[in-house]
Amino acid sequence: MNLRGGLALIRGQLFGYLSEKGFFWTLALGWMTAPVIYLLVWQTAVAGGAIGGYDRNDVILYYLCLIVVNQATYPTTHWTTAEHIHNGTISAQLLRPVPLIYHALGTEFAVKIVCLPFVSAVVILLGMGFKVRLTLEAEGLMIAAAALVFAAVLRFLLAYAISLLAFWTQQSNALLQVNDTLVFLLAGQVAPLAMFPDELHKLALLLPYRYVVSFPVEAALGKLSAAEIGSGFAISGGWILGLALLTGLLTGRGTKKYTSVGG
Amino acid sequence: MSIMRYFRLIGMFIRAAIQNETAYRLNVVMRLLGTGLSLAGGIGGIAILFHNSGSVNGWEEAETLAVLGVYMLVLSLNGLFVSPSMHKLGGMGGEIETGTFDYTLLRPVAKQFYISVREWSVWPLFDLAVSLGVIGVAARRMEAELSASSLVLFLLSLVIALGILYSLMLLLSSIAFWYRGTYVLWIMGDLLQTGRYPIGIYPKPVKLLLTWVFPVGFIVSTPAEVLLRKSEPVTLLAGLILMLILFALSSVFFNRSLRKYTSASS
Repeated sequence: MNLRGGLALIRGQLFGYLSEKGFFWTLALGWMTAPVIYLLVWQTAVAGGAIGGYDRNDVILYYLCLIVVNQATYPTTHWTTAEHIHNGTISAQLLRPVPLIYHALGTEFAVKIVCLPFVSAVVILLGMGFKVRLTLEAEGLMIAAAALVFAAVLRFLLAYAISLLAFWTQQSNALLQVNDTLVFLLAGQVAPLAMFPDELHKLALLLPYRYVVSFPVEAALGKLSAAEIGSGFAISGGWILGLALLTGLLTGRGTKKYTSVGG
Repeated sequence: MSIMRYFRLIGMFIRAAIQNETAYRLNVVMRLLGTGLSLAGGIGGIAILFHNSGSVNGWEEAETLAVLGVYMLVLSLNGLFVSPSMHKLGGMGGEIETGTFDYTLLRPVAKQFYISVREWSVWPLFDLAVSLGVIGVAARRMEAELSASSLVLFLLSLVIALGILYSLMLLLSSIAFWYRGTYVLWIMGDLLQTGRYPIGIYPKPVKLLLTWVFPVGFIVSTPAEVLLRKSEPVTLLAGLILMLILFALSSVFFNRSLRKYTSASS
């Protein structure tokens, strides 16, 4: 493990991205649109009465929280990694004396550092605009923070593993899109999972998708019992472990198989 | 240059697109899966919404489904060639950014025609078929009769919608000539998502914004309303005038922006 190399990559990319703040803030605004749409739709829908334990204030808080969590966990490098494998430009990264994953990690950290303050500011303004009532508990916030770290790691590994499949299939961007759609459906974006029909809700609890966005949000809102929190960490930890092993395997096999022509 | 030559060129662009994309077979299967999933997502979202409440701001489930169908239809038509062509011009890694626009300028064909139709994507055809199915199902659930005259009006409103969308995208991609690094085109798709639901569902200020500032209203809602026979002829006329103005504006802006282009490399 070449940690110094990794840190240097993060630093270098951070400066690069800071110089293009405007671009990333535009992107971040785009990423925010979908949750804002669902916020507006749902706050209209619950105007007649609470649904699944969520009243109007809960729905607004839920989606404002979700915007931040979504931004904090959304990985960006899987598209570029798949693209680099597809057109052969990944050769340059393979030649460097640091593990391949460092390049992706460096970018992830840099993008998040650039985007999060901006997104948080917008969310606070939105919250003030909706006159949302907010009560915070230290314990709930700490659990949510831990869940957020799990979520970011899990979401990154899931997308990164899929992008590595491009070593075999040349193109993996359609599969990446399928993955993004599943996140949209099953991670609590289209509606809080508590509003889902029972069977679908149970299924969602087992799949990795709930743990990449919804779980930290539910924890932050204090919607979970101690047992639910425990099982949540156990399931997402299991998925992380499995995907980490898979990523290692795919990187090893894939880079051996990889060939490219030209310079 | 004869009109036929333009059509032949379009045919060639489409053939090239098919050859490009069918080369990766697993990707094709995944695209199909993606279409299925986004359909499931759209319908699922509406089902959950109305499972819990009978009507939202005066909109029934079948009507909302029809709006979703029209949204998917407009988006798939846009995705066939307008969106891919515009992204190739002013998107991320597009020609203006990389400097390969030189080669485009040198081609012996009308510039605006070429940059508008050269890049095709075949996948939206799946979405197109699915969206027609959704509209059909919604129409049946509402027991709406589709007469010839309402279909003609619907087609007219679709042309207006696409014209407005095209003009907006041309305006946004032309901005790349003036200020490199603003990928405003990217968030276009995100903003369009507001059309998934009838704009009548949104709070008043948002609704006004979506009608007059970013006209999702004319792009998705008006065709849907024409289909549901909820629209007034005045809306269609207003849309037509807006389209003509935007089209003229964006064409002038694009051609003016061309002069701004300085090649990035040799």
